[in-house]
Amino acid sequence: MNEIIFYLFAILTILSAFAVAIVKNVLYAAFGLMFTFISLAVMYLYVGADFVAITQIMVYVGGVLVLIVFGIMLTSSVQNNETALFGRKLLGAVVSILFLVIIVSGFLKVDFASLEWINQQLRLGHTQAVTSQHVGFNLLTTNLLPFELAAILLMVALIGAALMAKFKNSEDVEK
Amino acid sequence: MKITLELFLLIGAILFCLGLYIIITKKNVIMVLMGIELILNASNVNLLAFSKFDPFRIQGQMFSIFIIVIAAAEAAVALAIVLRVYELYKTVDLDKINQLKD
Repeated sequence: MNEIIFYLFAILTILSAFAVAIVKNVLYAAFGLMFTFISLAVMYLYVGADFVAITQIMVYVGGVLVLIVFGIMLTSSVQNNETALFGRKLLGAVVSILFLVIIVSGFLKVDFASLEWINQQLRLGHTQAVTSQHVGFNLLTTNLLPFELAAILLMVALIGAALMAKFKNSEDVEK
Repeated sequence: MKITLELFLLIGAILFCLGLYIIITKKNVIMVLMGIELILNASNVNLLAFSKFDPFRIQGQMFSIFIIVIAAAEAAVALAIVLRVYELYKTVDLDKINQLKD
């Protein structure tokens, strides 16, 4: 049962990502991206990453996608529909399929179970269903410096974005 | 029907290639941004799949959390730039935006 749900969401992830690539209307592509993010969050639960799954839904679906939809609506015009040239589509398909073949043939050659740390974990066999407690512990001990730097980065990015997206005539208003 | 590590890696690879395809083919700036988001998510899938074998230090999960933070910051700044560019050029077509000043 668990596996069936996982496979359903895996297929949904791939299909909705395909929809983003194929669909012509930009707004529909944003909705396809929403399905990709939500089903990815479900897949994260299967590797015991519950905190990351919730963060994925909150940040991507609640934040990034809303920003993207705002961006689409503020820049929408007649040429909203995508009409890519055939040559460019061919180039994109060739390059991405080539990358897929290289990556897949690469990781199929590797025997991950022979790696020491993975092998050890497979032998011990205890995987955790809930890791939020360890996430909090690691965030405030081992990863404290990146955590604080991320806070500064977010503040700088938000101030920069707000300054950049000011209205066109704000300089005139100030005068 | 088992959930294996290779399945996660395969899904990550497919997502990466779809993101690459979107970045190459699409002309709209916002579509290209969506492709970048897909690629960042593909990297997250890989990190979390390996993090399963590291249940106490969970370095993969820590890394993916920081990737999510950076993706959010990147989306905010990129969309602000897109809005400014649209104000200047009245278009978001990447083929037509080819000057640094007007």
